Amino acid sequence: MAIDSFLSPDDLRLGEEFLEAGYVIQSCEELEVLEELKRRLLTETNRWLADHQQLGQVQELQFSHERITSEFINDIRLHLFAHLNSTEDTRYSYFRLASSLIQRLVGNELAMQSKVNLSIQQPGDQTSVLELHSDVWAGDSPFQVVLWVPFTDSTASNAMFLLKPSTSHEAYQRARTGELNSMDQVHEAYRSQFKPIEVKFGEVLIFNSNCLHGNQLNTTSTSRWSLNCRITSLLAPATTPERRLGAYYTPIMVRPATRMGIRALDSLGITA
Amino acid sequence: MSLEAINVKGYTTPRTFSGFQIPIPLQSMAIRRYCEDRGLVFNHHVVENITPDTYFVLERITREAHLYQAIAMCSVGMLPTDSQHRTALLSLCLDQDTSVHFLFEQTVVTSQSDIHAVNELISLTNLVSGSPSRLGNFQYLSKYSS
Repeated sequence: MAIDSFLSPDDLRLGEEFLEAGYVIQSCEELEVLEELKRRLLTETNRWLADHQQLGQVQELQFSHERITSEFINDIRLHLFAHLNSTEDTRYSYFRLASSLIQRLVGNELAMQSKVNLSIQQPGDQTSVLELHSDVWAGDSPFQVVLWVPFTDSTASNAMFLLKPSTSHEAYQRARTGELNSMDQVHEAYRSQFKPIEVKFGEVLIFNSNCLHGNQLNTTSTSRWSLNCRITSLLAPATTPERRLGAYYTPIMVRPATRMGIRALDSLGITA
Repeated sequence: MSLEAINVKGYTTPRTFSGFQIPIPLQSMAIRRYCEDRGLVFNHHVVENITPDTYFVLERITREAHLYQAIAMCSVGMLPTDSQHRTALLSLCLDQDTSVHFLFEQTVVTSQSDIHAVNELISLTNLVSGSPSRLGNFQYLSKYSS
């Protein structure tokens, strides 16, 4: 009997689940690394608050809204973004949270977005709402996945939502034919199908960013803090100059055979 | 190599690089902003020739690299496509204690291993550069096309 795929049955099942639903959720692979990242976020947030003469400190990220108002939430977010991305070990730590899962879904030669992104969704904060969008519609690589990790339990309206691949594809086709002419119309047409993806602290989410996704106004009583970063196969095609290797992604896993090949091309004077 | 009080020579090009065609004033502005953000001293930029696959101006500023402490340009894609030529120019800068900064890749070359890393990055990028580059056109846009 011919074997169609050399992937293990577990990997085949994982792949089918991912392709059908548009995401998978699993336990974090290195919980102590996750805890350390969380500590860094909390420490640096409180340092900012102290430096800016703000009263009180954040004791737990899920209650950050008790100390951080809409007036300076973006200042804090930008500060934390710069702090996290000032050291290379942040990306490495982040990758370790789901290293095996990423390799099972994407491969073992990888490139990772140059920056890790921070999202803070506090109750009632309209300024942090990320409208419905698809990364690939904005020019991102269709071959990338997003590793999304919460530092608080994300539930109901403080979670992100995603339209599954078949639905997103349908929306795209309706936009291409002119039936839907704006993101507002797409939003209205599919609003009833927005499904929050609930991810607890200690879990990781990997999703297909070709799917339409976003978040809504947080009407829960807790804040949601999460990081996200894009990962793609090292040799996946780039669809736009801005999303190419080097500027947007940097290589994180290059196997000897690939190095061997590019050195051979170089020796022969062949530029691809 | 200390980054304090560093004079930076900006290098720009009228040619396409890395898939971009960026007006020279914008390239210069980006380099100037890069320098301001890092406390570096921006020197007026130079502009490469428009003739494809020539690097006359880059050759000159690398030969004169001792006049500055750093050269800055938008992207590694502005370097010669031939890796030996590229390596020779970057090495010449290092020999004169001049670092080379690439804004888009956020990379600074200060050593031979940095040159090696840049070469590898360019090789990898070239491997995947022949790619699906156009998403499907939206039909409704045809109403507005002539």
